[in-house]
Amino acid sequence: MVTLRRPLELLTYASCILGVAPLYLYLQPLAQVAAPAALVLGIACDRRDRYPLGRHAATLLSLLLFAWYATRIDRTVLVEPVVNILVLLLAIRLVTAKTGRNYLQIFLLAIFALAGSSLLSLNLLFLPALVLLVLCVTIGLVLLCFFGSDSTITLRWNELRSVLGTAVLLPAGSLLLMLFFFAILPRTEHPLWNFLNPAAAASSGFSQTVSPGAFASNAANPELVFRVESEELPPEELYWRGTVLNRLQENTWVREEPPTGEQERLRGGRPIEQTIYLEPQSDRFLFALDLPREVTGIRSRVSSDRVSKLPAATRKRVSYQAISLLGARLEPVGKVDTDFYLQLPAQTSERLRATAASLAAGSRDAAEKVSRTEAFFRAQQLNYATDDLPGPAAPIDEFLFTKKRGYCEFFASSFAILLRLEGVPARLVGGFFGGTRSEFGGYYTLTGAAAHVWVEALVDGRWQRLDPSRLAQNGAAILAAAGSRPQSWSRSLRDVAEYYWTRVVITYDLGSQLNLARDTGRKLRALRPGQLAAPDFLLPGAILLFLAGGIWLGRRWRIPLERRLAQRFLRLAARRYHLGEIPATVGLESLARRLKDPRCTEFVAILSRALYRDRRLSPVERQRLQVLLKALRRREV
Amino acid sequence: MAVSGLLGRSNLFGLDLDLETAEEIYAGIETLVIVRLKNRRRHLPACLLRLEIAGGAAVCPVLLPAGELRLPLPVTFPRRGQQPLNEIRVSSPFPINFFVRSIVLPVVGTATVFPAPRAVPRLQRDGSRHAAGEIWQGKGYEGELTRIADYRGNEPLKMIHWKLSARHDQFKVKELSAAAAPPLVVDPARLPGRGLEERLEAACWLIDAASREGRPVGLHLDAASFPPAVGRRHKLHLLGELARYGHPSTAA
Repeated sequence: MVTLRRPLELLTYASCILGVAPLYLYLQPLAQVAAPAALVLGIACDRRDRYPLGRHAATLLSLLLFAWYATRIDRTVLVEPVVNILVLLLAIRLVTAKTGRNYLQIFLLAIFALAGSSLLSLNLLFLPALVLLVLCVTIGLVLLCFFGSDSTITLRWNELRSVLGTAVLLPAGSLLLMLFFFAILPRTEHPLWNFLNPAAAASSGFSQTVSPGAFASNAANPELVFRVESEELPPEELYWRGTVLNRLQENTWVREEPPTGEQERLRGGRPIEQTIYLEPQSDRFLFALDLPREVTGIRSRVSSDRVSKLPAATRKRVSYQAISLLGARLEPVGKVDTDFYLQLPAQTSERLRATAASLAAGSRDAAEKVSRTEAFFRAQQLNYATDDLPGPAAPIDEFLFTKKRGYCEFFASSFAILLRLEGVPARLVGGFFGGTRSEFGGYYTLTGAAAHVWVEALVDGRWQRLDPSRLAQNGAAILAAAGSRPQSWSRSLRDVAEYYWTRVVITYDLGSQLNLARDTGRKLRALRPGQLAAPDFLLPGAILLFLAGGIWLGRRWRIPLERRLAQRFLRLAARRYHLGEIPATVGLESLARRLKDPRCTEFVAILSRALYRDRRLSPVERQRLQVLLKALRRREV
Repeated sequence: MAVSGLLGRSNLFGLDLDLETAEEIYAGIETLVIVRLKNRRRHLPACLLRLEIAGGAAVCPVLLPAGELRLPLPVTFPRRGQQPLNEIRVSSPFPINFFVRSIVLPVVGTATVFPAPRAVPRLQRDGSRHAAGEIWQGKGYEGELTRIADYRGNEPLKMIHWKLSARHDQFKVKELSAAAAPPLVVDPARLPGRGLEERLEAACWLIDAASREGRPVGLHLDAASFPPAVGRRHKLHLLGELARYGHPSTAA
């Protein structure tokens, strides 16, 4: 016999751990210490059935803590105090005597705590924690139902097993329904609870301005910025366009809306379809493979220079589709406002102006000027580096002539300024280069470390992409590495799991729902019985097979073990002694007598003992019968 | 909620119920009605079943798949008569105690509820102080020798005391007491009480008390008369007649 209190307590502990663990790192020190301490103390108290806190003391302490944190709640700081209160209330409840109602409170607090964690971070761990918590809480509720009817109730082991077996149906069914409702429940384009989650947006390493010399070093930011689902592309083509910086303010490149009336068109190129899953950003830029033709699946505004922007910064993960034209020509339509793209900083060094003049001397051809500038960069033997960078006073001059080291911003900025000095319209393009290809998921992962800036120059009537970072002595190697950073298996698998989590759960919004409904409707309308292809049968066939298997197993389990063993015995005996089909009227004992096989005699004797006394076979008997059947199955006589 | 609703619903299905009532049930006195429960489902247990019938209730914590159970329910019937037991209410808070789901299942059963026994002045054997409804029957043929009397011509031959008769000039017969006690015929109409029910209660007590003493007991009810006899069956028969008295078929 087993009392229900013990399994109920175990489920309570598990629920507490599952509820608090995902938000543990976000808790204040008091709650971080109190939660594990209360769990350990609670387990000890439950074992001894003595509790340090009485009912009234617990209520008073809860009220005091509540009041303390309530004063800290603010419109902007709402989630942290609330989750701390939840965890501390849970801790108090753990170290007090527990009635049925208290167990219920613990389960509820654990659920609220887990829900609170989703307001702080919605990472992949949330899903397993949620599934396990649902499992623990629902089974706990079932046991609590028994506990509520009689707190001293005891069950036999087989009864408890049977009850737990039934109780598992509850979370299993709930999780299936959860999947169903996740797909169909109406949701908004903009989360209602967005204001609770202000800290989720992160800076990616991608910058809206380019200001070489502002920092002495540039540390790579490993945070994920976006993933792109697309076909595999040549590594040297992995330029992900974000923004275009077209105006220089002192030493800083900023973006201004392109001059009024400016239009650019794309010609040629191979269309590449992509689905992009963008992490929460403080910027509004939407990234796509250079050069993007269109961005769909999200409300956005596209400028003439192929820069797509959200109407407002989003603090949730979004997904959208883009079609880019690989190798296309970006051509201005009509006259280009060259003055705008030749605008220079107020101060440029004498050395820089002289260099530009010498590079432009004797040539009116933009392509030749570009070529000469590239040769100049190579001749300068520049190095791609992220530390010991030129200072803020004259960063371009220092980069090109003194230190000769810098990262992409220095290369692009100095190249564009030189081109402008030479009279070639130029602008910077900010985005990303490279990306780690996941072979499991068929997508690219772009982190902040892949942020990149390159140049577009108006050459021969088109905006030509130029990447001066490639002109560094070590540029080719560094940029090649950016395209194929090796990942460990575990990291790669984790990344795939996170990718699917984002793709299936996080970015599933109203648009996805409408697409799902539209696709289903279209497929149903297009369904013609005579025109079904093999793949159309795959999923329904698999489901039918699964159901048929389930029914077969269910029927098999419905036959008692004793009868199954008897049937197997008859089958094997018939095969071994070539009896053909044994009529149903032949009794087991008469058959055994006729066969004169000691194994058959023993088998029938053991089985009969159980059958005639109307009892189940004991484990030892069952094992012996299996051994005898195995012996009958063997070929030797 | 949906899944718990389905589980709660299935928890109450696939149950076979059968009733066993006690042979002696007295109005106002608690008795046990046995409910035989059978779970027809092969894979799901039935959990936390609360069974209610005629104001009595009991809880069956777990009934295993394809399992059987006899569950006693303490029941008190307030009135005498034949009480039909046509339905049992089965309810359960399973699986999560948010709602209590219940169904009413039909059963076939009848409880014959005897009147509540009410003690009346104790019987005396000498015939002078017997209770009002008690009819003294006198001598018997199987008990102790009480006296020798003259033969009056109507005694059985086996009662003649041949040895004594030989010494006297007339036949002498043995007079024996009744085997254990003299037979008793109870007539409720002659018993003390403020109305029929009280008289029936007194009759019930008398029949029960006489049976306990092993004394033959009969009953006289208006036109019907039941000769004295002993034995449990006979007692139950007489008490049954008392239970049904005034209620020709089934009574409330």
